[in-house]
Amino acid sequence: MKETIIPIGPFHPLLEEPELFTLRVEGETVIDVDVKIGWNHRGIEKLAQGLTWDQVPYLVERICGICSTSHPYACVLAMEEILDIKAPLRAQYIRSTVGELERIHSHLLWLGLAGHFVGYNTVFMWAWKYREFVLDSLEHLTGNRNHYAMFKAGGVRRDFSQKAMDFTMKSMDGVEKALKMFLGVVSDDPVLKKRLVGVGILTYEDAILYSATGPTSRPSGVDHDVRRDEPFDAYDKVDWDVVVLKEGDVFAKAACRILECIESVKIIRQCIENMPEGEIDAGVTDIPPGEGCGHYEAPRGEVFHYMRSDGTGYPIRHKIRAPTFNNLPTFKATCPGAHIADVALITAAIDPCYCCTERVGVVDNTGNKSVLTQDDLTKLSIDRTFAIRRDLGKLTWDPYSKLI
Amino acid sequence: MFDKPIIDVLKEKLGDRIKDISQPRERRIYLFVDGKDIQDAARIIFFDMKSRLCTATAIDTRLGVEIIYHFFIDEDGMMINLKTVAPRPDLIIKSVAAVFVAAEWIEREMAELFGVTFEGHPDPRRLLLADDFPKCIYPYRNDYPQSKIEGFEAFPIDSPDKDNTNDL
Amino acid sequence: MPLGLSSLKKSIWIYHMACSPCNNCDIEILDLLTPRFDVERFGVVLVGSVRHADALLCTGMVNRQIKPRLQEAYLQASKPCIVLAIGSCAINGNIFRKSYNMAGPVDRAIKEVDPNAIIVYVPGCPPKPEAMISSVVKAIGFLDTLKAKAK
Repeated sequence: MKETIIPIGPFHPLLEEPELFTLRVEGETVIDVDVKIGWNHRGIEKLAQGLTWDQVPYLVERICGICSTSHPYACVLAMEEILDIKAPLRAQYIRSTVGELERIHSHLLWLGLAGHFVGYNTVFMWAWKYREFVLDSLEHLTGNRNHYAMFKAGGVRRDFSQKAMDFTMKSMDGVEKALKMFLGVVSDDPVLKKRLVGVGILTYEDAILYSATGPTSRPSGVDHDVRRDEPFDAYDKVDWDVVVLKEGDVFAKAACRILECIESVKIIRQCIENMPEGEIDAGVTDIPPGEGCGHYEAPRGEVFHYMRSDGTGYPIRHKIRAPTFNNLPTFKATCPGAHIADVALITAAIDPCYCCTERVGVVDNTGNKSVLTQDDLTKLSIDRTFAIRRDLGKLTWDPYSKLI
Repeated sequence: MFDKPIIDVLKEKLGDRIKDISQPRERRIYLFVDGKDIQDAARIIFFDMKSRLCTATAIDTRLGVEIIYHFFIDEDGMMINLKTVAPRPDLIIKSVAAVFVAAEWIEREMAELFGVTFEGHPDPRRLLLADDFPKCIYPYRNDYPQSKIEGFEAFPIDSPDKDNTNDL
Repeated sequence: MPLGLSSLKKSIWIYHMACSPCNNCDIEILDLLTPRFDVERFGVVLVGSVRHADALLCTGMVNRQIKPRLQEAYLQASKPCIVLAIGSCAINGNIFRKSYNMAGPVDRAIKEVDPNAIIVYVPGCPPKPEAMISSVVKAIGFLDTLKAKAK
C-alpha cells in the first residue's frame, strides 16, 4: 500500500505547547513517528550561568508552569549536596507538602486532558473543577496559584500559617472523595475501557531501554521512584507506597496517576499533622567549589539537575533534564503498528467543547423549576453508564440503521 | 542487588580502564575513563549493572568538552557519574547512543549546543535549535559571542545606559 | 456601522498560540474554560483553527524557531484580529530576555508584519484568570473605538 506522510503541528488544536509530529502511515496504520522539538527552547541552562545562586531557583521555576516545584526542588537538592547540609526539619516537611500538592494538581490536569482527548469532556470539566481546590490550598499556603517561589538552598522562603494548613486539611477531604470517584469512573466505565485498554502498550523491556521514568514506566512494571530509592526530606518519615502496575497501556497510565494522587493525599495529611516547629532556613550565604546532582520525582517522572560551582557567586554549569526528554522518545516504541486514531489519543488533536455541572435547570411536570445539584448529576450519569453497559452487553439495535 | 559495595563491583568489572574513581558521598560515585573506553564502560554500567541513564552533561573546559553520563541504580539508590573528555581541537568521541537508544536525544543536544561530534550516532540531526541558526556557532561554548553574530541580531535591550540585569 | 464589527462584539472566538511559554499561562487559559471561571458565559469560545479566530492569545517569549510561524498564523487570521500578549514573557521577555534564542517579544514579532495590529497586554507571571477575563472584556471595549473610526 502507498505510504503517506501526515505532519501534525507545530500549532495544532492540542491544548499544550507546540511540537511537530510527522506520522508515516500506510492506510490507517502508523509505521513511524518522528517528533521535532525545539519550539520551546529558551536556553535556560545558559541563562542560569549568568545568574547568582539565589536567583537560579526563580529561573528554574519558569522551566515549566506545571512542575514549578519539582525543578527548584531538584535544584536546591543539588546545591545542598555541594554544601553538604540538610534543610531544617520544618522546611523539609513544608517542601514535601508543596511537592505533593503539585503532584495532585498536575495529575488531575492530565486526567482532565486525557478525558478531553478521548472525547469524554465530563471528565475534563470535573477533573479541572476539583483541581481548583488544590490550587486554592496552594494559594493559601504559598501565596500564588502557580510559581510558588518557596525554595531556596538550605530551606524555604516562607512559613505555612496554621489557618492555611487547616484549610488544606479540609480541602484534602473533598479532593480525596473526588479522586475515589474518578477511580470508580475510570475503572468502571465501559466506554473508557473500550477506548483505552490495550492502546499504546509500552513493554517492560522498552521502558528500560529508553530509560523512561515516572508514570510512563511505572505502569509497565518498572519499580522505581526517586522519593523511595534515595530518600530525602520528609519522604522517609511518612508512610506511603509506590504505585506499580503491569499492563503498560494508556488505561494503566491513567489508573497509575489516580492511585498516585491518593498516595499524595496520604503524604500531605501526615506532613501537616506531624509538622514540626522550628526554623525554616539554614542561612546559606556562599556555595563552596564542588559538584552536585539533585533529582526529584516530578509528576511526570524524574527531574535531574547537575550543578558545578567554582566558589564564585555564579554556577559555572547547570544541567537540567526534564522527565519528558526521556519519556517522549518512547513514542517510537509505542506508536508504530497502532491505528491512526490511537496516535491522536496520545498527540490529542481534537477541538475542545464544554459542559457545565451545577447550572442545569430542569422543569418537572408540575411546572416547578428546580436546579440539579452535583450529587443529582453524578447519580444521573452513573445511571446512564449502567444503561450503556447493559446496551453493550446485548447489542440488539443497529447504530447505522437510522442513517440509511 | 550486589553483595559488596558498588565501587568495588565497578573496579572489578572495568579493571584498568578506570583512570580515577572516588565516592565523595554515600550515594554518589564519580569515575573517569578515556574516550576510547566510553562505549564499553557505558555498556557495562547500563546493561550488566542494570542502571538507568538519567542524562548526560557537557561542560566546556580548558582540556576540551567534558562529558558526564549520569546513571542511577534504582535498587541501591546509587548514582554513577561516568566522566570522559572529548579533546580539543576536533571534539570527536565515540557515541553511546550506538550502544543503547536512551542516549540518542541527549547526544543530539550536546552535538548542536557544544559542537561535539559523536562517532557512530544513528541519527545525527538537530534537535533544539532553530533551522536558520548559523552553523558552526555553538551557544553553550564559553567563546560564544553573546551579541555579535553576522546577520543574526539578538533581541536588543532597550537602553545601554540602563542595565536591567538585576531587576528580575 | 459595519456588520462584522458589531457581531464580533457579541462573541469573541479565541485561538491559543503557545510561543515558547513555560506552560503556566497556558494552563491558566485552559482554566478559563472550566467550571470555576467559565468564559463561555461571555460567548468566548476556544476554536481549533486560526482562520476562525477573532483574538489570538499569545503566551511566552518568542523564540527563533516559532517567530515565523507566529507571523504566518497572524496573517492567516481574519481581520480585525486582536492579539493578547499574555504574561510578562509575552510583553518583554521577562527572565528570558537575555537568552540567545530570544527573537523579540510578541508585539515586535507581530508589528513586523502588521504595524497597525491591535495588541492587548496582560501582565503577570502568570496573570490570574480574572485578569485574563478582564483583558478580553477590555479588548471588546476597544472594538467600540474601531467602530467609531469606521463610521
